[in-house]
Amino acid sequence: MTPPLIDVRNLNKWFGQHHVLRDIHLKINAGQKVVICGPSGSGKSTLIRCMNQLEHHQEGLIYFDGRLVDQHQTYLQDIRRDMGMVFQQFNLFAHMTVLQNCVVPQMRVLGLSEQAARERAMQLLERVRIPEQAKKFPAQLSGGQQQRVAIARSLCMQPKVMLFDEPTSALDPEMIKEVLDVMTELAQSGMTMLCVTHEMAFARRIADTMVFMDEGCLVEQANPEDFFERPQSSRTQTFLSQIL
Amino acid sequence: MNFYRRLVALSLALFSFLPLVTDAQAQPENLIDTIKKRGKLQVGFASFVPWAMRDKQGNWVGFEIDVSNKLAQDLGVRLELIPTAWDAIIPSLIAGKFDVIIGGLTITPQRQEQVDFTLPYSTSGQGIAASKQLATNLKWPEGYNSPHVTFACRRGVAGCKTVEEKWPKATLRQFDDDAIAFQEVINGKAHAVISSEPTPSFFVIRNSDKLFKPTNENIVNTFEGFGLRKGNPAGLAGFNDWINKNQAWLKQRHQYWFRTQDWAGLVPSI
Amino acid sequence: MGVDNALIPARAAPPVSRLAWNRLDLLWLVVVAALLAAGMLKSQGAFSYRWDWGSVWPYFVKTDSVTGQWAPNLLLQGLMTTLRLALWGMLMATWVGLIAGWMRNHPRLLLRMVASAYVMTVRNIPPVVFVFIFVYFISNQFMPFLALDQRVSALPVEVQSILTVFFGPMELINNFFLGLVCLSVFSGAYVTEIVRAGLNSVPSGQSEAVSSFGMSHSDVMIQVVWPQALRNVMPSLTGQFIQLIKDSSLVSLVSIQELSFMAQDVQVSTQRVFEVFVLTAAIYFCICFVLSQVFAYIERRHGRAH
Repeated sequence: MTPPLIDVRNLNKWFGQHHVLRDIHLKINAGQKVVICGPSGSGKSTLIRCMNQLEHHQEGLIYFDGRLVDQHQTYLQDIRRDMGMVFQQFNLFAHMTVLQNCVVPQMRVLGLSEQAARERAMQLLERVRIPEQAKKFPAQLSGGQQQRVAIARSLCMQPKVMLFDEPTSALDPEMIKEVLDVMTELAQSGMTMLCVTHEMAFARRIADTMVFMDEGCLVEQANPEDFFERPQSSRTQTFLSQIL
Repeated sequence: MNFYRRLVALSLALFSFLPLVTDAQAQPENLIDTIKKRGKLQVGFASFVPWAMRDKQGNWVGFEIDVSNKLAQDLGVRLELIPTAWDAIIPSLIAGKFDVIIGGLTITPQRQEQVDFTLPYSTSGQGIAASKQLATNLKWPEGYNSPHVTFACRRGVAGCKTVEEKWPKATLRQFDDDAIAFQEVINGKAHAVISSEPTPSFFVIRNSDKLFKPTNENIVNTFEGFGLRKGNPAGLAGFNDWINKNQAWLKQRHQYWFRTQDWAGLVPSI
Repeated sequence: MGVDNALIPARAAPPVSRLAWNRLDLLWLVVVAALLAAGMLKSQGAFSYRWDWGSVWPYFVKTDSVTGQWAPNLLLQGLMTTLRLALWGMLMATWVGLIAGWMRNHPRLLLRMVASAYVMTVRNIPPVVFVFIFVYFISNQFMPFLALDQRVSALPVEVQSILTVFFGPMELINNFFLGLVCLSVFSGAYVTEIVRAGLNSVPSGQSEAVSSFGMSHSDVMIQVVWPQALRNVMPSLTGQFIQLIKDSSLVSLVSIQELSFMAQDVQVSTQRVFEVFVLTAAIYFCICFVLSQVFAYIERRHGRAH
């Protein structure tokens, strides 16, 4: 049996005195699509940000592809290279064009030539269906377009797993669909995905595993059918009744 | 840890240079010898009419320039003129920016505390120009000693002290420059201005409708000497020697610049 | 009201007059003109001054007595020195400010403390006092060590004449360099604060995004954070540069022969106080105005990425 791609054991994190992640255990295999949901303040974003150490955990272990993920490790940059992250606020580089946004990380981190980087960037911009925006600056694009650029930018790095931190929460409703379409296509292509979102219809379609978190604890973990039809915990039931 | 070790090493390296620097600052035995070895005499001065001025070609001319030129010639070295802001002239000397002040530096007890003076190489007087508008009815000199009377002077010159001593009750206003001080009196904002001759006389001649001289005598006769850093008796002796040898020449030059207007074509101020 | 789905088509907007002069504006104009005229008449009476520009102009450009050609005179030479001080001062102050600004935000406490001490010292001392202290106390620690005049006189003549174009006459190189360092250290403190504000103005999401790619910290800073930081504070930076040109007149106090110092000499030699001051002010105004227009153009082209 192949080891899991991401292995989280007994993860604990505090912000000051606030215990935000409590004894989290989670295993994600390659090709698996995991959707994490829960009320605000439950620690979903913190969990995902601990994966690539944008937040540092105080207790517990995280293994990625067999290697320990820790802020002091010199190979942390290598690990981050293999994880793509898409943020709620897009975080595109405002002073570069769309194309440059995709090309520069490839050149600086992967060491590709500009020619190769451009080719791959244009391929991925086509995949997210906005190749014609390549020369524009992020401020000239709509929110949905910017988020799609962000996804393309992460995919340019050819990561092993894509982390999504509420990717559609900052978008106007009419743009959510275009981003979800891209994510659906990505899921169908076999990418390992770890996604924090409130879009339950989307989750139901693409997820292998649903995870529910509340107050820093991992309350329930199940396949979508069991999760939505037969939630075990009363907290899960309450949450689902509120959002569905 | 690495970082701190590097920092300490760098600091040690820097500090080890300091002894070299301070050694270079140590006072030489004889200033004249140093000047001759360097081949250059560095003279500090400020612009004052007619001690040192810029002519229309932008060259320095004036009494002090002539003195400095001859001194350098007699020592067998080149002359380097270092024009300095008057307010900073003594600090500049002490900081070693030049060898000697040859700039109409009046010998006063206050200055004696900071610099060594040679024997006087020229004497000047201080003169007064008064406002016809305000001061015609004032009795000379007692009438000027009143809080209602305002004197003007250029800041830092010996004349300011003279006003404080001779007319203690009068108000004294100091200005950055002679011309501004005189302009105050011409404008009728001050009663009188004190300055080194021949400036008051020149101004009265040019502005005879606004200014007059309450007296034709000099208020105070002042002596000027070269200013040197303290602690250099050999240098002092050397310069004194030169002054003694050149008394007649110095007198003649002083006469030319201060009593005549033969040089008027050089500078537009006349 | 139609049942079909056609929208109302867009039309051109009504014309807006940018320069709308109405009666109230004209009234203001008359009042201001009257005040100005009254002020000028009053000052004429108070000054009783005879203007004489003819004796001042030759100090800007002269007819050389030897060659008979037009040659720069004191004021123009002082202007050149001021321009050189301004140009090199801007470059050096920027470097000082970038390094100190980087130190101000650094995780290491020692670096932060050193930079803070520097900025606080310079900003809380009056400029005149700072210049005096720097020139008469601090400079003696490093100027003799550098021994610039000796090093320069050892260079070949062709190199020296090239250097003269950029740094002024070689005899005055010590003097010029001292003024330059003094100005840069002084201005650098203000640039530091501007740079720090710039760094803080870049949203943390930007550096997070870059880190999540596995880019090294230095890449994060150089590729993403610094370009945005500097663009964001470009107006403040260029304002500081204009200020530096005016601050350059401070070093005239310590006998650096730039425009203000030469103006003082000319003013003493000609006794024409107001003409010299007005001419000097006009020259400074021209430099600063031209430079501010240049900077405005640069800001429009490369400014904050909206």
